[in-house]
Amino acid sequence: MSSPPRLGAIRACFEGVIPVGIATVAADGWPNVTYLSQVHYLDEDHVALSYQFFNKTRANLLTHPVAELQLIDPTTGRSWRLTIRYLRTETAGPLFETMKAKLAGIASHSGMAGVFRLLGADVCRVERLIALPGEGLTPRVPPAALLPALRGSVARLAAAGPLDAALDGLMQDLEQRFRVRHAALLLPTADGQRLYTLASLGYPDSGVGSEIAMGQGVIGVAAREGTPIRIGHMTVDQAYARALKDQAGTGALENEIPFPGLASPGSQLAVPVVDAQGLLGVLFVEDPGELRFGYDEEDALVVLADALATRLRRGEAAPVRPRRRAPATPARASGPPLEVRHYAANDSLFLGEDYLIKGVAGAILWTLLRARQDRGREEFTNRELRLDPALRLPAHAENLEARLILLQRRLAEKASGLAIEKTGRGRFRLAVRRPVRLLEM
Amino acid sequence: MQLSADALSFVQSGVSILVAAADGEGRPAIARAVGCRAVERSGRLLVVLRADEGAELLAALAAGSRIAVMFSRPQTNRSLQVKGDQVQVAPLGPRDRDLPRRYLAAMDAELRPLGHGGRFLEAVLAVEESALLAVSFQPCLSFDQTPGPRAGHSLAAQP
Repeated sequence: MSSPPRLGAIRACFEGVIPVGIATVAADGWPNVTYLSQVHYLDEDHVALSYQFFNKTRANLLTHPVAELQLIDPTTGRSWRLTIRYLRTETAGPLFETMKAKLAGIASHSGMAGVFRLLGADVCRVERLIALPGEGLTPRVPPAALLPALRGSVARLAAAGPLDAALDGLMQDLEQRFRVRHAALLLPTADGQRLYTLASLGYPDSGVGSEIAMGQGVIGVAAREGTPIRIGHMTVDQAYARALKDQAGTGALENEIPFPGLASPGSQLAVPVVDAQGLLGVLFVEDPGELRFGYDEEDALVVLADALATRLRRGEAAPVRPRRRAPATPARASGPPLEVRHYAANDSLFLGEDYLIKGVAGAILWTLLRARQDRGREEFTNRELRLDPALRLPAHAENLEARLILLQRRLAEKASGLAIEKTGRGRFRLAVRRPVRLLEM
Repeated sequence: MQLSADALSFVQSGVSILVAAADGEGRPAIARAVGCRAVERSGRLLVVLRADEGAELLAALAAGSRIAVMFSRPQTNRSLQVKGDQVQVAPLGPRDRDLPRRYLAAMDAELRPLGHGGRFLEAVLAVEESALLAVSFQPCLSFDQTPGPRAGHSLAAQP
């Protein structure tokens, strides 16, 4: 006697590859049968149906809340039948946004872009799942070994060490353990209105420092709603299509550094990095191929994001005892002077004519450069920065490490003669290899 | 009602077919059909069902349920729903023995470009593994079921 089938094991049926059939019954007793654009797996006992038009199926469900679904697993060809009972409709919030984004991909995939628009997510309770007769095929593609990948990556995130090494390790694990080709980690800006790229994988330009508005595209929606957003098909929906590069040149500082994402991704998945205190970032992966990330990959990245949240919140504890070390010989500043311009309104910094960074990271560098000019200082600690009221650090001061990493990476990419060099736990040096002229604008 | 020549040609081509009925308590039953043909002169439609897959549906039909059948072309999403009554269920007659095999071939031609033909389609339809029944009915209503805001609109009966 085989154990009863589990809905979680056949979630591939809900990826939108093969449409799901639904039968309902009208008040007058007439049966009705049609296809659904999208059925979303919520948990073992619940699914949600996409509600796009007030059609016969929906009218029937509201008066007669039981439906029978016919599912086909696209990996095996096996058929399943699901009996469900309509409970409620959600018209906003995480489930709604998750389904709306997925529908945008399905719509583009099936030539229905501009026709499909989600009006609601009809949440239904699962009353019965039965396997229909038929042998089915052995899946061509063996399931990815996500659990060992997850175990290794979570252990690495939990290990001691500086945050920048942990982030490098995370990107390496995404690539080598999860076989992800393109990824980015974004953190919220101090005002919480935008997200900035702190680390990335697989792009010609790292895009470190590039920004995305809260609510914009799959990343912005995942951040705003605090829910994973996954699209399995190339979408032409403006809400999710990568229009970010097109915004460059509009003059807005936010668009000075282009987001590095693929021009036409076939698969995208954005997972919020959250804990009880709120949003810490968004982990984003994408691929040119379609249907690259399924429910299982989403589950794995959600757990990985949880470990990342713990790591980000832990920050870097201040050193108990400063290491005794010989003061470094200050690098000789030589060459033509570098003009560093600071705009106080948004703490943006320009090196010569080139935009470098703004916000907290901009304020940090300006503070460091002034301390060097006024007091000859080159060695600093994270702790003193945390206590500096001029920096306008957000409430979660552990974000300071992230800001320093952002600054360090931007300076390294600009190769301008300025650098942040770690000198120990919670300590670093501002290395200045050419004369600088500070201009407060 | 009489289906148009175009509709008749459509329902007998390589299209997905789903059948629904309602039991005495108004609960729906659903099953996949593996072929359809128009019955000459009577205006009736005949669809082929796998007995083991459609047990609940067949029980509902035996108890007097009316029937709804959706036909959908995978490549275009064009869909048509036909509703009918005077349902009869019978073993597959000699002239229809070949219907599922011809249906499989037509579906294969339709689904191959989408990557779902061949062995995958055979696994889905699994016609070799089951006893087959002929379900015929008299169409009463038909609806354009192509996805979009007009889905569900009644199609005028053709003369």
